[in-house]
Amino acid sequence: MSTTTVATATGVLDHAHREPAHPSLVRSAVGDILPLAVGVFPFGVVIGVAAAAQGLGPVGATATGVLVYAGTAQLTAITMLAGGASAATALLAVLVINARLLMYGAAMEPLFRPQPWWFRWFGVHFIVDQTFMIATARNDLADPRRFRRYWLTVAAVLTGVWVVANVVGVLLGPVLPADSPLGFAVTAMFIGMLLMKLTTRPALAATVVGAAVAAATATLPHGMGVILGTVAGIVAGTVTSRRSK
Amino acid sequence: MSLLTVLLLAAVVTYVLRVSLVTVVPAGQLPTIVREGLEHVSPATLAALVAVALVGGTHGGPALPVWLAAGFTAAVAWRTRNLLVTTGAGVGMLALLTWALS
Repeated sequence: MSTTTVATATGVLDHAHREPAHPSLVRSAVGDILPLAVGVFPFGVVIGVAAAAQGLGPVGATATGVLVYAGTAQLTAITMLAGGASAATALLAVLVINARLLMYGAAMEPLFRPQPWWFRWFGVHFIVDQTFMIATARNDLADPRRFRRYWLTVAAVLTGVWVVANVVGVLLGPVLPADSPLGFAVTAMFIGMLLMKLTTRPALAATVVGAAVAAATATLPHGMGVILGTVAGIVAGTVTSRRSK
Repeated sequence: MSLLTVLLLAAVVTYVLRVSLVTVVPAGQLPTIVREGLEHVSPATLAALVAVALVGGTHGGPALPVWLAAGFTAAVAWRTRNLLVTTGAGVGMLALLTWALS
């Protein structure tokens, strides 16, 4: 066994030749992700509640939560199917909503490029809004081992919180009143995320046009309002960006 | 098609999106306009989801408490730039308004 690398639950890499664990980086990673993980907890609970309402048990809700690992798209798919949308439309919505992951992947590609093959295929699964934001905000992750350690720590913490939140939601679902304000947590979170992205004119144009078109088409069947609004917003943002150059 | 099947397919779609520009096709090979468009997916999607939730459906259609809570949430987000505080404030305000106006 020469340089076999094992990823532990804490993301600390334990090499055959006993490389130091760099607890400060692990602590720093936990410190970065924990506030955001706590922030997504209500979101995970809401998804668990929604999944339970549609007949998914704790195992199904948790498994799909970890496999999809994209709450907005997952909740949209559940909500659309519950509202009578077809599977194809729900999947189209997932595709459109998660298209931003392409952008995140493109931006993070330099960090993944020097990684071993298993990490390039496995690590990308944990690209979400929160992990993208904190990892790209740091400038000390150029070393491949350092990034790997950081990324696995962040992924372990976020996934742990996500699983617990999903399970809590599934268990809470049957006892919550139908009109619980907890359902507003998702919208409140989206509003917060949106407001924090409004830092440029193209982002503002994408928001205003996307919201206007989505509102005008909100009553269309199969959740088409979200898709039309998103596409219109993307076009508006791109046009504004090109005009301002 | 069952919900479980759709969510498993959603997981496949989502993974393909994640891995595409990291491992399969280098991002630099994408046309410029596509890369520019991807930058605006996030605000456009969030705006559309919020608009549909407020106007159309998730919370039972347009309702004064929901609109007021949404406005309050936006103000808190703008002021604090903190997602956890924003979410908690929004849910708390809606609970308060629903109780007060019922």
